[in-house]
Amino acid sequence: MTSYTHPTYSTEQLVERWESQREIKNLMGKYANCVILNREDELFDAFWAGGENDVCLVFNDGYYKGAEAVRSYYMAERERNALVSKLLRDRFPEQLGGKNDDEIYGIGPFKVNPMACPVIEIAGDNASAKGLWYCQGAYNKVEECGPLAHWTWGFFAVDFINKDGAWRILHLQQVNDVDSICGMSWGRPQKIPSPLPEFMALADFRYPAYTESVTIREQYNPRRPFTGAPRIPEPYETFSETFSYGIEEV
Amino acid sequence: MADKKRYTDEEMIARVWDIENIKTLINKRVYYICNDRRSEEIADLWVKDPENKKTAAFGRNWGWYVGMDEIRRYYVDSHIERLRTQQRENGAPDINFGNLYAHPASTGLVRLADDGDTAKGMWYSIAQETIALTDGTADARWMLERIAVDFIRENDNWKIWHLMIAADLNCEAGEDYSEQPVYIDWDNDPVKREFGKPTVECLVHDPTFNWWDDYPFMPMPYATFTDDLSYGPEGFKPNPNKGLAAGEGRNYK
Repeated sequence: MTSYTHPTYSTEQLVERWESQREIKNLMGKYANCVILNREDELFDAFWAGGENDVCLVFNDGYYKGAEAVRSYYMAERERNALVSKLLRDRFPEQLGGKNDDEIYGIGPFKVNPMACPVIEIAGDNASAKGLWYCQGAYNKVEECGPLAHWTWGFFAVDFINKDGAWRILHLQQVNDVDSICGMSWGRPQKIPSPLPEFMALADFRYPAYTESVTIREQYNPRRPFTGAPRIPEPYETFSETFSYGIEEV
Repeated sequence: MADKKRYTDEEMIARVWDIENIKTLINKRVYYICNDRRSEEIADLWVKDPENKKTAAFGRNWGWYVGMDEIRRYYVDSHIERLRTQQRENGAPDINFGNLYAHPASTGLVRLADDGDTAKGMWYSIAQETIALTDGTADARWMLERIAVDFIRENDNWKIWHLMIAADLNCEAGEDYSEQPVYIDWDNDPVKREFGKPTVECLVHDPTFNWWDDYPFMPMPYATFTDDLSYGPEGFKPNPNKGLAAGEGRNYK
């Protein structure tokens, strides 16, 4: 029969740490849900640590560092969503022609980031935490060729801080191994459909420049050197003792 | 089924964390697989106690490797041998060049024994393995599988004791699932070939016609571990599936 006395934490501390873990899981669930609803413009204020912190949002080919840069990326995503909605209204005037910009906002893009396999480590001082998730996702993006569905295999690797009793994102890596057209093997060459004139306006759309454009993670191809998962969180006492999912500028 | 046992607050939160730690253990295994760190997986996540190592088991549809030495021979040594052959054939600079592995586990169901010494868990994985080929492309393959695990506590750490991965389907990405042959060509099936000849050879899960053979069985509440509950060979009971009983399916011994 197993003994139930924890070597480090009291019963109350064990409950508190379990609640922290649950809040962190819920935070990422809410983040994913906001993305499904195309509410990227709400993400920074709702879930991030805020301007006074060294926030960093990382993708495969670069990163945004600092509050202004991270926020500008999310606002650009909203702008693109709005542009796509208008192009679809032009494309489907019978169904959408009578609706204003607010009413049609969000039609078109569909971005699903189901997060599974969490490994979460809460610092011994309960002031920060780290989490790693596997994300077997999918998204439908309206591109110059029109709507195009992708499936993705990748990771969310996140540092959190406990800010006034609430958990917030400090650094977030959303990196994929596979971002491939649905229904086609990612091990073979893929053919992207030709552009359509009604969606050509998207060719002029640009996301804000990264703080630094740099290959963080090469996407999978049969000539890619073997690439493992982001580092798994390990037990730690305080954030300065562990590694960071943020990127240090050179 | 075990009687509903009552616990103190201290016991309850300890049991809650036991289950969290078991889920984390299986999630860590997912990232070890992404990293193809099989030897480290055995060192970090599997049983270490000499008695437990003797009875450890790694099973797939066609039986079990029993004992950590046998498991290592299959899961680590044969794997590295295959990777070296692939590297040579592809003229690749390193082993695993152009390969990609992902077996994310979801839908977890964990049962902790009343005595807190063991636990049983079940997950589902929509997995993929992508293997670089000599022609510069890769075989990207969906692998749908049920994962069933017995865990045992060793020095206050949870360890994998018996692991059963029962495949339901594997097919190349981009192929239509419904176009898969009813009778799988096991001789050329990459998962079967990878598994080789186990210590205990026995068809435990047959996906032909999508048989509902109920193996591995779902973990139920239990008081203490007994062999008949095991996901190792001692817990397997030939299922009453009519097709299998009639010898339907394939010429499997």
